[in-house]
Order: sequence, then C-alpha cells, then structure tokens
Amino acid sequence: MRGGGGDRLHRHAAAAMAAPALAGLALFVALPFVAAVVLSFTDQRLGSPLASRFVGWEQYRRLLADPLFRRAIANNLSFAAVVVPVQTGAALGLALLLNRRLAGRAIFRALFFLPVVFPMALVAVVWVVIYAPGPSGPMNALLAAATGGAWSPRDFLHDPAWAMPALILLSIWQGVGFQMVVLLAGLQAIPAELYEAAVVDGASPWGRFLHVTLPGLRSPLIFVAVVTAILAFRLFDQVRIMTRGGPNGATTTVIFEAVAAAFDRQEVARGAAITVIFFLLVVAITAAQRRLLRPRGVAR
Amino acid sequence: MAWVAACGLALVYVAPVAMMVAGSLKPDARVLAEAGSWRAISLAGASLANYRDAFIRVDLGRSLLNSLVITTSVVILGLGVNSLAGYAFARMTWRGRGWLFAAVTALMVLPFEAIAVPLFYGVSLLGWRDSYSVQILPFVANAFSIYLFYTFFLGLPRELEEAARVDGAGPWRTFVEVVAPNARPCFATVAILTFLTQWGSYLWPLMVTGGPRVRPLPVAIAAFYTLPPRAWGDILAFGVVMAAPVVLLFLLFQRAFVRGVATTGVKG
Amino acid sequence: MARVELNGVAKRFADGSWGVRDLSLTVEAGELLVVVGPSGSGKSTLLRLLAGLEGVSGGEIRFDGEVVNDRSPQGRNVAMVFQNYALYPHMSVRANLAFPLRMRRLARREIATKVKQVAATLGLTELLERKPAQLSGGQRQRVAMGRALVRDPGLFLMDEPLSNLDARLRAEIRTEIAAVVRRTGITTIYVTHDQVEAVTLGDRVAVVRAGILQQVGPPEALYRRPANTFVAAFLGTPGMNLFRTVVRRGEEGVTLDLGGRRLPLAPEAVAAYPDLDRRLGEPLIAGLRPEAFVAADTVSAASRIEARLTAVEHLGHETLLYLDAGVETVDPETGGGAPTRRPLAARLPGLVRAPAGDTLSLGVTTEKLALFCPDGGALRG
Repeated sequence: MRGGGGDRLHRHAAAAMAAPALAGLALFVALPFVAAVVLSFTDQRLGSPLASRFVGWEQYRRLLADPLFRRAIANNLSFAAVVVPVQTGAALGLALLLNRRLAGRAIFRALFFLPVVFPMALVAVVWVVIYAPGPSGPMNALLAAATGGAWSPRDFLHDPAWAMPALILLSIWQGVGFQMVVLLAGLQAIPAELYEAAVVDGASPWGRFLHVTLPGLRSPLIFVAVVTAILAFRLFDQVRIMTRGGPNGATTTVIFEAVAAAFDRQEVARGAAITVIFFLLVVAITAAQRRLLRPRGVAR
Repeated sequence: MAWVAACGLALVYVAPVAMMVAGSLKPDARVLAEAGSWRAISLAGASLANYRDAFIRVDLGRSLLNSLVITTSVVILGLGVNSLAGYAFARMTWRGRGWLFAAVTALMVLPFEAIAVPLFYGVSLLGWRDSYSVQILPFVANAFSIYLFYTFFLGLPRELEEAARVDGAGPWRTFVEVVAPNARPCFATVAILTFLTQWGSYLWPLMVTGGPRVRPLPVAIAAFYTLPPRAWGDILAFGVVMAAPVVLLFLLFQRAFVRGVATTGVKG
Repeated sequence: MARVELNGVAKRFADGSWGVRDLSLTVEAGELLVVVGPSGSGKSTLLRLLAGLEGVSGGEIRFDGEVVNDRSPQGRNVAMVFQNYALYPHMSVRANLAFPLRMRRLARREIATKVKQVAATLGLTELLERKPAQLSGGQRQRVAMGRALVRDPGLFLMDEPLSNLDARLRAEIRTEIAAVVRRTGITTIYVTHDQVEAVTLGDRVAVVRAGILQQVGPPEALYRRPANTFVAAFLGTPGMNLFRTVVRRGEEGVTLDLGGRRLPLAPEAVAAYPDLDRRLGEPLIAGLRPEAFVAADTVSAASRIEARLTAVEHLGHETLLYLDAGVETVDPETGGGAPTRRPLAARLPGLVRAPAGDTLSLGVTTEKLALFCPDGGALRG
C-alpha cells in the first residue's frame, strides 16, 4: 500500500487524536497497576527513610496468615453470596412489575432508580439515621411495629451479628434500580410474538416465564449478576463511613483493608499486595462471565 | 394488585428521602427523636437554619464548589479526550491501532480500586496531594468511555465523513463539525456516567485530600458526620445540597440517564 | 475544468481482493463520462480513488497533467454526490450548501451569495432553512447536487445518484443532471449500474466488470460494436442475442449459420469485418440485437427463419418475442461455458398477435451483425 501525503496527514491526525487518552490510560491506569505488582514484592512504606527491600512473597504470605484479612475475604464472599441472588431476584421482580401496563409506571421507575444516582457517601449517612439505636430509630421502630412490640431495639451498626446484614440491606436498596433498568431493557427486547406463540401453545403464565422470559433474559441476567458480584468485592464506602470495618472485623472488606494498610498505616506494599489479590478476584469473576456466556452463544 | 405492590415498594424508596428532606428542616435534637414515627416526615416548625449552619460550620459552600469544579472538569475533558480516541480507533487507520485497542478494552476490566493504592503512593511521592488536578487528571482518560464512543462511531454512516473530506474538511474539522454533532446521544450518555461516578467518588478524594480546601462533598459529609457534636439536622441539610444537583439532572434528563445505564448493561 | 487521466490504475484491498485492475482511461475537460457495470464491478472504487478517499495501489491519476495520487481529497478540488446523498443531518439546507465554502475559508458575504445563487438554480430557495430529514428524496438529491456544485469543482463525481429515487423522479432528475452538467461544463464522472441511465446520459460510456475496463466510447459505438460479449449483453434491454455460428462462403454468397439454417450475410456486415475471410468455416459467436428481427414479409425468403415462440411481452408500442430457434446460446460472462439453449429475443414494432407455443416466421436482418471470437472478444473489424 502506497502512502500519500494526504494519508500521512490523516495518520498524524489519528495519532494526535488518540494520544491524550492513551497517555492518560498508560500513566494513570496501566503504570499504577504494574507498580502494584512490583510494590507487592517489597516492604515499601510511605514516608519511610529506609530503602525498600525485595521480600518476595512475604507480603502475600503474611496477608493470607492474617485472620483479619481472611475475615475480610470471607465478608466479601458472604456479602456477594447474599447480595448477588437477592438483588438480582429483586431487580427481576421490579422489572417484571414495571414491564406491565401500570398507572404511573414512569414515576415508579424513576423512584426505584433514584438511589442509583445518589452518592454512596450520602446514602450511608442517611442510613446511619435509619439504623439509629434505641426505640426511636426508624428501623427499630418499624421492626417493633411489625412484631407487635416483641422486637427489642438494638444498635445495628455496632452489633457483630447485625452490622453486615444492615450493610447488605442498604446496598440492595441503593443498587437494585440499576439492575432493574438493565433487565427492563432486556424484557422489552423479547419479541411479543414469542409470548403469543407460547399462549397459542397453551403455556401457563408460569410456563411462559420459564420458557420465554428467563431464556430471553439470559444475557442481561448474567451481566447483572457479574456486575453485582464485582461491586460486592469493591465494597468500601459504606463500610468506611458506617462501621469502619467493625465491630471487631465483622464488616471489614478487602478494599477496606487495602486502604487501611496503605493510607491509614502507610504500609504501601501491603496495600499493593491486597490490590493484586483483589484484581485476581475480579478477573476470576469476569472469566466466569465469559464462560457462562459462551456455551449457547446467545450474547446479544 | 400489582399497583398496590408497586406503591408499597415506592414507600420504601420515598421514606428515607422524605426523612432526609424533613430532617434537614428541623432542629437537630428532633431529628433522631422523631425518626421512628410518622413525625419523621412532618414539616412542623420547618426552618432553613440547618442549611445556614452547614454552610458556616463545615463550609459546605467550599465543598460544593470543589465537587462542581472537579466533576465538570473531568466530564468536559473526558468527553473531549475519549471521544477523539474513540473516533481514532473506530474510523482512522494508523499503526498500532489494533493492539492498542485490545489494550484499552483489557483495561476496562480494571476497577479503580485495583490501582488506587499504587496511584496514591505515586502522587504522594510527587507531593501532588491536596490539589484539584490530582482529583481530575487521573480520571480524564477512561477506557469504558472510549469503548462507548468507539461503538457509537462505528454505527455512524461513513459517507458523512467522506462527504466532509471531499468538501474540504481535514480530519479535525470533520470530527468537530460533522461527527460530533451527530453523536449527541453518546456524548450525553458518557457525560452522565462520568458525572455520576465523579460526583459520588469517595475513595480517592479520601486518600488525597487532607483538609477542607479541595475536599469534595462525599468526603466532606463523611467528615462532618464524625465531627462532634453530631448535629443531625445540619448533616441532613448537607445531604440535601449534595443530592440536589444529581436529582435535578436526573429529573431533567431521565431518559438519557436510564439509557446510559442500560447501554452499559446491554453492551457488557 | 480538469482533464482526467488514469494510467494503469490499480487498487488492491487489504484482504487481497482487487477493486480496480490496470485501468487506463482519459476523460476530456468538460466531458460527461458514465461508468457502468454490474454491482461489485469496481466502479464505485474507481470514484473513491478519484476523490482521494482511497489510495491507489499502482498506476497514476493525473488531473490536468499533474499526478494527484498523493493528494488528499481536500487537495483535489473534486466534488462528489453520494448514493445516499450524505447530507449533514444536523445542518439546515443552507448550512449544507455553505459547508464546502466554509472549509475553503471564503468570506461570509461571498458564501451567502453563492449559496443563494446555487439554491436559485436548483429551486431550493424555499427549502433553505429546512433540515435534510424534512425533505423529499428528490429535494435531498438536489441539495446534494447543490453542495457539490456550489464551489465550482474541477471534477464532479456522482455515485449512483438516482438509485434511491422512484422511477418517475429518476427520469426527471436525470434530465436535470444532464442539463446542469452541460451548462456548467464541469468534467463529470457518473457511476451507475443502470445501462439505460448510462446511454441516455453519457457523452461517452465506460463499461467495467470485475475491476477491468471492458470498453469506453460513445453510447452508439458501444451499442453497435461492443468490444466483447459482456458489453454486448450488458447494454440494451434485452441485451444482444449471442449464439454460436459459422460463417461460410458458397455459391449463394457469404452465409451465417443460425440453428442449422444458412442466412445470407448483408454486404455491410461483410464489409465491416475485413478479417472475416480468414475465419470462414471456424466457430464464431454471432451477436444480433433484438431489433434485427423483422416481419417476415419485409425480407426475401432466404432471410426468414421459423421459430417456436416461448414467451410474448406486449409493451404497447412494441412487442418482445422470445424464440426457440434451435441455436446454441453463449454465456456473455465468459463467451464459452457449457452449451445453453436460451431463447432469442426479438423486438417488433406495434402489437404482434401470436400466442406462446406457436411457430412463427420472422425475417432476420444482418446489416448490424456483430461477430466475436469464441473467447468472447470482438472479431477485428
């Protein structure tokens, strides 16, 4: 292929157009990520006058032996184990509800979606009020009313048994609208003829849900579940603001530990090693998504 | 039936927001005391005193300004930088395009949390903390935005750009005068997604801001809420101010919001 | 007004396929050349090479003697009308017309005047504030023309500009285009797959197939003396009848074999092929236009054939008859191939009342006979 003068101009323009973004990604994403891997094999501390040493797998070894870090991973896993199915199921319910002809449907959709646009820091602070201890706390009052007064008020965020469920509930409340919108778009993409054909074939409403709706939602459902799973491992803002990982490590998470190490205690190398482990977890989830989507090749 | 269920669920969504707004209007002591009853949302004795306090006690105005400066900078710079890159990848031929694009899509899986620690270390070494730029520049280039622009530009009719070239426009003019004006929906989607992410960003500003000078709203409200004595009315007033811009934008551009979020889902 | 020369121009795509191969062609300044060929023949690629939207892989393109291979589209002063018009959807008609002038950095006042002029010539004055989406197909077509004309280009390229219009509008705009191009005197290269458009519009017509130029010349020349069987069959509806034949010289004079019958060959046809003497008795391909068939009573008995009618199409002013004359027809794409027996098409004026299945007697006139070698190329004249 012979390049002309006009083509050269064209190529220069292309390089100039792509350059700022590529430079930004290289400098602020790719480079730090490589740095994370390198740092994780040292004992680097922030502001330490001592030169950093290569310590091999020492950081990883220490981390995996640290009960608090193991607790963090376990917390992330249990958070994901509850949030992924419950939030996806709730989102599916809401999407099915709003996929009908319903008076004020647009208003309901806007309401359920609204918390998604709120900053998590704000949601966390408001829910601190909701979880307020004592009988005047809204959640306590609600539960007392629901149980006919049998409920004894407690301090949710400082109760080792209740802190994590409290975070889970608020996270679902905040995030379900996102999944709902994705699934609603998926529902609307299912051709009406399929439902009509199923009716003609004598399928019950449940049969239609099982044989038309669910297969039609396969891709968005997998997507939604994967995004939620990744979000579950990114869990940080609520924890930092509402419980600071407590009480007694009951709500600590992988990222919370990373920030605590690198930022609060200046142990950059340890934070970097946690980062790498976090990244491997995310990659594993993404790989699982690819696998799930491959077999039937129904990805839209 | 369905409608009753929807209304019940709507209550679950309205109640916390209503409580926040009502609480922001009443004296601090009454916020928690009344939170457990219907009076949580009563507006009796409403006043704007809490708002005045929030602006004075923690300099809400400063944080609001910081958030606005940081967020709009990231949105505007990001739209420019990422749309150009998306265009170069979608429509222009240049050496290295193929593998660089593969690299960009690979970076999409990397959540910010995976680079926060080393990035924090880097900017600390450079003495770059406590500035606007450290909260803006790292977030301008965004692999996912590039990808959204890329797919959108692929769908535009190629003839438009060819017509512009024949009409005498160079690559830059073609982009500015012909391509960009026809990509408004995509610009809107990317702007909204960037805005939401930045406005709510907490982890990074928490690490790089040491005081109120360049601190954005999420860090400020978290700090305010731990500041004794806890004045709940003021805190909730702060929250209302923080939520107002996003809610306003959401109500104005609801369609674009929902589409923006849904496209991220469909494309995944 | 540029004179355009193409010298051995070739375009090979990244996937290895050829767009255009070794194409040489000259378009005189002010000429309207129509490039015609089936889809995928490389005619659009040729336009894109001329516009500078694609770079050539070989050969050279000259405008007024100057090589422009390396010039970008904006450096070539060409204007182009695209198949789908490619009007800028976000701009009004006025802004669309002004766009190429703005890119040339003309003064604002000058732009306004030129836009007004062009709008007036094309009858767009009322539509200046509209957006393309608010225009009809014909109006969009005119805006696209206006956008190309407004800046006095040296070369005007049109890529199937009528293909998105309905039949009636197409004829109307075709005459309009011809008038505009003649009036402005801009060198124009017009690409189409429609051979009717080609012959009605072009000063000269270039026929391309699979990236290779088949023949270029005035429409009548191409119609009368096609360079090969492909051109012969491509031009005209229906195209030229092609069948295997042998020319002999005997006591009845020179004869043409048509399905076993020996028809006397008109002296004009004999004179047109001086080489014919050396080809006597050899297999050849004969080409007869449908209008070579006439009513039986207008020719001598020797020039008549009997043929079974396989189909009849009444077009009002004329009738198309499809005849099984017992000849072995030829695939125009290759000139050879497996023997086929397709019916011959005959065009007779007026209404011919004859049902399919009948056997009919028709006269054959051979004055305009075309002869081809078995490989499909025209016999040297």
